[in-house]
Amino acid sequence: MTLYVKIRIPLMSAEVVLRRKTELLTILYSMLAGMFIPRAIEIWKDAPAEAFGGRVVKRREVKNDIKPTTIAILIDRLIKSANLSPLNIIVKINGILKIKIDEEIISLPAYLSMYNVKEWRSIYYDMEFDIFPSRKYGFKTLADLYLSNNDIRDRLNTVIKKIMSAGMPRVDRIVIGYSPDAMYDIRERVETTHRIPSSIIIDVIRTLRLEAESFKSSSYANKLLLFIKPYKEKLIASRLWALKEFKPYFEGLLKISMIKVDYSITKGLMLYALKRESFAIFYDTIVSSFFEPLTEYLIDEEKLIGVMRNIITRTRTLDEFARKFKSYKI
Amino acid sequence: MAGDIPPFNKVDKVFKEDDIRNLLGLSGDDSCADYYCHYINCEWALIEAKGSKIGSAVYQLEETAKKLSENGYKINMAIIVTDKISRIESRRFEIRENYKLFDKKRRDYVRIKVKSAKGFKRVDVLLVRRMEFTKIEKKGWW
Repeated sequence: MTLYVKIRIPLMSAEVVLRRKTELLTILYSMLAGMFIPRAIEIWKDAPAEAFGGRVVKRREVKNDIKPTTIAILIDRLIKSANLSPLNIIVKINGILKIKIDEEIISLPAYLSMYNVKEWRSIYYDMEFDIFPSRKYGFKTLADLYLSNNDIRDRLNTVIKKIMSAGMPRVDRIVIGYSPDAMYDIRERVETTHRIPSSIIIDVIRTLRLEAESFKSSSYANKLLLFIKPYKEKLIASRLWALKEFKPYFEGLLKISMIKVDYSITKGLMLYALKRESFAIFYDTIVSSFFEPLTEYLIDEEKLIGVMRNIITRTRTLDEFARKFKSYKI
Repeated sequence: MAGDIPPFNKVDKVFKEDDIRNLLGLSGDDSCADYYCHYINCEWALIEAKGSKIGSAVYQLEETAKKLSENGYKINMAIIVTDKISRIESRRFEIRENYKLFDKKRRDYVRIKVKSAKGFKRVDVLLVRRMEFTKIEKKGWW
């Protein structure tokens, strides 16, 4: 649905974090310049709609050709004059997305938002760029556009690379997906960029967890998860990624799933789908070809608990130590 | 249209997105809800049925409702029609009795402010999944 940006929040004051996030928003806006035409900037307090308890504290209409530097100054002024705690601020730039489709230039209402309110960050993350769905042109989401239009895809990929290379605060992950779940559910994505490449494996395990937790969950996902649960996701992911044999296997997975990898990104990993179902195929394939065979060598959670129980209930365990240290017999 | 408006068999007048734009003088660049319709029990509803994200759907309904009510058009309820609710959003929102959208964090129903003859009033936002359409058409919701 949307382009979501997730940031690793540094240990800095809320004011500094807000300022840095605003700078990042301006970079994102400047990279979209020419394609995303702003109409108005809004500063919301607490929530992004009145129906959610939010309130527009400041609103400023802007000219079509406003420069990114001017937008940055304007946002900064509006934030200052709003006089709100940094942790209650949501910045929203409403505008239009101008794109060329079949030699025709069309405009779609769009928005770019920055969330600095914790409870909204947990739903729509730190930044969000999307179109309002268009019945006329049949685009429900930015993801539809991304898949159907190569120019949009290339442009957004360039934007993502630029954002990833920004300094502080460090962008952890950028995904384009069909719903806010895309940040956790890899099957919902059409594009995914990670600062730490091995985190793509973590996302596969998290998707497995979501599948297992789901009401419609197959016993297959639950069964696999029982074996993987006792291990740290990060450990499995980083060790697997570090294996030199993993690269050809991973490239094979991408080929099967019709996913392209962009190696021009300096640090991190950028993958993008060529088909709607690419990431779902990727997920199914890695689960079946790697995680399922892996579980044959692991012990599941119940067995692990059983083993621990057996060890501690053996009476001789502590008796041996009591003799060794000449202490009282237990 | 039948797949977007619940219950469609209880509707006697429908304004589509382009009609709403004409009513309000909105250009194609402005965001706008999908339908404004009249039910046989004399209630008017504003419907957003294109997307699946609650946040942007509510924002669009709010913006359109504001403009409609300022121009003297009645609104008794706002409806979001979707295929499914995302897992992340369902941590914050849930559907309560009569499909009313409830904000768990604020412990309050999601309501949109509209202008009325007596000043302002708040109308409920309902969230309906398409799979429930048949049930609603049989039972109705009033």
